Amino acid sequence: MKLFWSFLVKMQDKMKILGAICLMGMCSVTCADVFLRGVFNMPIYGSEEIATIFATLTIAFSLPYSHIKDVHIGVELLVRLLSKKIQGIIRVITQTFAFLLMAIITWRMSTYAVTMSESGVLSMNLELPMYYLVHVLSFCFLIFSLLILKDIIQFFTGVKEKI
Amino acid sequence: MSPTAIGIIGILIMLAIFMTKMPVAYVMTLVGFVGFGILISFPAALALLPRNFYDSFSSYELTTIPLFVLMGQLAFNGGISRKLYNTAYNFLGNIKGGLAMATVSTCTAFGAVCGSSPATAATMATVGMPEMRRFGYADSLSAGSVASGGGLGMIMPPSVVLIIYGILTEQSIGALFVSGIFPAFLMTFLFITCVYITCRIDPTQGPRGEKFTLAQKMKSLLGLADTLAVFALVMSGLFYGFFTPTESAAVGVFGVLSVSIIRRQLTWKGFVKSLYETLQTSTMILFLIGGAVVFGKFLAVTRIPFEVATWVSGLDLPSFLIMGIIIFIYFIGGCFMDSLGLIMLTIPIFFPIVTNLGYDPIWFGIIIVLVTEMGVITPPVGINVYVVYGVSRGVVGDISLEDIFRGILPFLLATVVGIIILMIFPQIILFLPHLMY
Repeated sequence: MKLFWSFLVKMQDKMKILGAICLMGMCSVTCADVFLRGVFNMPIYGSEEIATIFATLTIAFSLPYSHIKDVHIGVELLVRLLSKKIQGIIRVITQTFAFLLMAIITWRMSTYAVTMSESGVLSMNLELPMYYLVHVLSFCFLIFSLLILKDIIQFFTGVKEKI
Repeated sequence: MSPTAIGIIGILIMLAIFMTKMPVAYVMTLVGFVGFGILISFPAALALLPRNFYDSFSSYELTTIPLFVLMGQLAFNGGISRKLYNTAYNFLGNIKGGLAMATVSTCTAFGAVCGSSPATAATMATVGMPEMRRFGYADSLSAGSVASGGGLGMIMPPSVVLIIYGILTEQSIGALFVSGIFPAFLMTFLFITCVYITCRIDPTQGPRGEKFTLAQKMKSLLGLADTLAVFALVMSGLFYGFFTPTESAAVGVFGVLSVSIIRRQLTWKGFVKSLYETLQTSTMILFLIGGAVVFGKFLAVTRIPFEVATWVSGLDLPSFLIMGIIIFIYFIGGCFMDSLGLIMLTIPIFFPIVTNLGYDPIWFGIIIVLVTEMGVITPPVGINVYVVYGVSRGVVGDISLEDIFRGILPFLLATVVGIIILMIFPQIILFLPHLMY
């Protein structure tokens, strides 16, 4: 099990790097388009689409990292008044719901990708098959869900395995 | 059970789950998904989930957010904030409370390159708090000016909250940005006045700092020329229609990156840190938007926005009173919730009411941002207060939360005065957008 969790954490680390590369890619394509359009009157054909694909990948690859960093905002008002033990129990319950929700999104995202592939949906200008992107998104949600599952299991085993 | 009753139960359940500290984005998705499933059908709800998240993540309009966040992060890690502060310090440091005034002015200026309120507060706490401690400023005044001034980053363009509001209500982001400029200046003026009055009443709160010659002042101002040029390029390109908001954000990133590299102020480590911080913030915001979209679909089928709008229109109350009630609800909500979450949750309900009452959507956007700005400095949530508390403990050592909360009181009053002024004189907000659009 430890090996699997270790693999997951390493995976999110690599995905984070890919996310950062995509972020710079989105910025570079947009800047290049503005420059070429402004100076040479030669905009990059489909630059909006390329930037959008980079943006989607940026967010997708950062999903597991956002969980590791616990960046999603929650209302702490009541919980922080409770004992550590109760806080832990509440956390594991909410994480179970979060895991189920993300698992459903993962499953439906892959179904959505298959539907898109079967109906032959292409992007408007560059005519790229967008279902690949949805498959990537589904995979990222899968890693995200598994990382939540890892926290739940570690709560019950009572061991924070050193990875 | 009627759809409206199910909707009300859904909202109550959502508020109850919020109290468990489950992330707001997850709660909105969960309640929206289950509610939509009950009202329409679960196969329809299952089809809704991936589509809504994919559409949110792949929206071209929303690509603006990671880029403006990156611009702010690069400005912070590239030392632009420190330079802005030094310039303001050169000009204002010699008068009583001058350092606090410089802090407020720098918050506004830094808000012009960074669209996030906590990021502005964190930056200014790092830069301004040690200086104010060195010159013997009272902790309440220094921390209060940093936490409150940080909120100005929300209204000074580019503002992430204004982008979200613009997308949710289908308003021009350019018009919203331009409409935020005068209110940001007004609030800066009011905050500076607030510091002045505080120091007049009790001069020990903010003693005089160093005095600088005119040559030193001009030199510090010239040092900012490149940063100001980047801001002018980004904003003018956007306002005159040469750039889309995404393009202006990308040009801004390129500009700030170039300035920081040329000045040799951005290290590779700082650059990578900026990228990773941007990934965190952007994912949090985009996930929140995805959740809000799912919840919005549920809200739409409950007909609650329509019912509330009809009910409010039928009330025999003057429109300014209804607006007052809405603002009060936002203020109370802002005390408990993050401004982005609050806006995404409530705009589908209140926006139709406000437009039905005949108020300008751009004006409403600015007012709401200002009201939620009060939320970031009021207990019990008051995110800026905790940011300043956390950062200050690292840079100046001992400081109490009580001091910070005491320090923000005068600024809170100034914000209320600002909102009243903007309600009486909406032209302050609408003058520029009407002139340019």
